[in-house]
Amino acid sequence: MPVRVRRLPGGWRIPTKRSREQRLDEFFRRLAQRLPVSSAEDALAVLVSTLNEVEDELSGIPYNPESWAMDGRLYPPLPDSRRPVPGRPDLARWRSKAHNTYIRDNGALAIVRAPDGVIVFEAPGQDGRGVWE
Amino acid sequence: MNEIEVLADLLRAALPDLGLSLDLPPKPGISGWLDVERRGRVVSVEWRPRRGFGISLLETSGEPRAGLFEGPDEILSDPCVARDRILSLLEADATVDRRLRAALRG
Repeated sequence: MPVRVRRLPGGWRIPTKRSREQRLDEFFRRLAQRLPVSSAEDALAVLVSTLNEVEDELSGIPYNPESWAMDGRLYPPLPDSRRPVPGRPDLARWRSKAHNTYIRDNGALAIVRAPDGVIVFEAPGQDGRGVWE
Repeated sequence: MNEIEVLADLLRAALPDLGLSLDLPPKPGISGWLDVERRGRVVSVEWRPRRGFGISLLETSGEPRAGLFEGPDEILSDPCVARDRILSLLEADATVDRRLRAALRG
């Protein structure tokens, strides 16, 4: 999705604010371009940097995780809130309000709606294997 | 027992038929989560030590991305107040409540 900009007489380019749905569309578009990767660390880093990049460009809301995300900005999982997945030592989970994000050692990634397990997004690792394979 | 466990006990005592799914923090200083389900409605609670309870009524039938990477709908610090709010969300007309919150958020 091209970024719409407004040109002011002085030559400044100011991106217009986007709705959450538009920002998520752009996040998933860029995320898909940057995957696959070959490690869990890289997958988490790509997810975090991509979401922060999109929010910096398109939300108009400054990064302030101390706000506990009541500011309308979308915030990625915090690396230290990693949770183990029983029976899957190769898999880690990050919980957010309505979703779980799963990342496998091979760089595979899946975002799943928490109450019912509906898959929102999934991408294999660089070896072609997904989170559940 | 930490505050998210206290809240789970308060809810269990208030309505024994609630579905409670407790996701305790893996280490100190990390959020704990509690999902509360009744008759198809789900409220998620994020507990942050020294910050309180972030409470959200979840969409379970609409767009799967709804709520992704968003913060809670409201934050309450007292476990008893949080219990009462969760029970009211589970009982209320959830559709109207969601539309109202979405309108307020823009």
